[in-house]
Amino acid sequence: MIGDNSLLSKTTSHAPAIPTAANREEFECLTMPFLADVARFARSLTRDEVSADDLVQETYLRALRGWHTFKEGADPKKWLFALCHHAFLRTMSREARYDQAPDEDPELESLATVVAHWEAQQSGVAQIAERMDLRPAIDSALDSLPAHYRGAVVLVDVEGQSYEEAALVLGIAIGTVRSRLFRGRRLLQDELFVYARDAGFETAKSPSNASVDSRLSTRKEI
Amino acid sequence: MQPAASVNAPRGPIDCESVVRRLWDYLDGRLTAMTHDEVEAHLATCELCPPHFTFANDMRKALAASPVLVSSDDESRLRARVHSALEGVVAQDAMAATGEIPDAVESSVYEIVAAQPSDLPFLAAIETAAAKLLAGHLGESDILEITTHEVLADALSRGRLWVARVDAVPVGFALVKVLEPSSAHLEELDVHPEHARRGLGKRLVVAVCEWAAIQGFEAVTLTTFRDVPFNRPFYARLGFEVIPSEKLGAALVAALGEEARRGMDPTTRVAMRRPCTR
Repeated sequence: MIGDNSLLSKTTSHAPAIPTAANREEFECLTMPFLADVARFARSLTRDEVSADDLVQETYLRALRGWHTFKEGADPKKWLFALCHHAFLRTMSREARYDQAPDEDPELESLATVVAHWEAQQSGVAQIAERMDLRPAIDSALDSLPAHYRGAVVLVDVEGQSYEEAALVLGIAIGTVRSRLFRGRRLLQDELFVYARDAGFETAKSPSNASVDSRLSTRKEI
Repeated sequence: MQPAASVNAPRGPIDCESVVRRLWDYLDGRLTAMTHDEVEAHLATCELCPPHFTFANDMRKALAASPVLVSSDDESRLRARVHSALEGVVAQDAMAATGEIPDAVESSVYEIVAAQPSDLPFLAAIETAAAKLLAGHLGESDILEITTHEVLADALSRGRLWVARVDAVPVGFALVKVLEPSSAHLEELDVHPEHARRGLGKRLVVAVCEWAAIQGFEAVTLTTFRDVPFNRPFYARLGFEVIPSEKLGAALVAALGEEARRGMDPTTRVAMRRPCTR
């Protein structure tokens, strides 16, 4: 869903103005400097170079088609990121796109953080960070992160954007960014535990999702 | 030894659970100064919480260091690709606007194939040009109303979009929607007027019907103008029959209703059906 604070015009897809060679030049002057940024963002989202390149091309085609909706003085990079993320979700299966999480409840997410913490303490897993090389583990964990959460995690944790900027790009409320981010990070932590266990770290028993969820289920379906 | 408790760094009032609940807000620097200090004070004395915070923070650092940088070679290659794709959009739109689509050389071979993402930017211009042939039957707004990119992209991703190409450039397309489980609905069929009368429309319809049969659909349906020569009579020659209004299913009734709502005269429209032969 595109919120009211979205950078994307709701009319972008209807009867686009025909781009001319002249405004294509203006368009390229303002948008092409961000090609490497869009490419990096696309790679973080798709986790695959070929899909990322397709996504970059799609982003710029959409941008040219919708150039008349670009608000003068707006930040082209944020606008391109918004188009890119929107196009990315479009490439996802319907199921992945509508895999709705308890987005609207950051409180539940912070409670889940506590439960994960208890689990980690019991299994002694929190100490693995000191012994494990996180880089390859992070790559593998990001691969398995559902598309739904990737946008928030990539924008804030990888791209270093603020919650406010991420909310604009994703077209969602700041509170929703926060809860998607928390949940995404918790899922990443779970994946890191799994990775650690598979890599043979002995004390690293994975806290099971079932256990985390059952503790929360008394409050609300997760 | 009791830990020093002062007003500025209270340990008692804030427990592990409260602290861990603030973990991400703390690491993201989104706590008020007072709460931030409370968390710090707790972490300074608690034995259980710090490893969890360290792990979370290490994960954040690893994420920040994770993006695969785009090499300058990759960037130049991508820049060239995007640039030429953008040029293609402008050129195609300009040709459509002036009607100057180059004549297909007689020896050129038309191919009917499943659409690729690179075909999408061309389809709006084809549809707009083809709709102009219906001037007098459609209102001006309907001529301007083209299939949205989202609909095209969605059909593409579901394998329900075909194009007729010549020299790798699309000049016609067919788009199928599934409105009811038993039928494939031919939602859109357009051939650029410059490439008309070469049998492309027929070949696209045949491709759709073959696909529908393989997919196990019972029939292909569509809605069209009763009296436009290249509409109902064209489909009738390809084996489609007009569905009597009393036999219309809910999905087609809804489709015709939607057309009427958009301003098409319902008395000029018919729904047609062709059973899939297997």
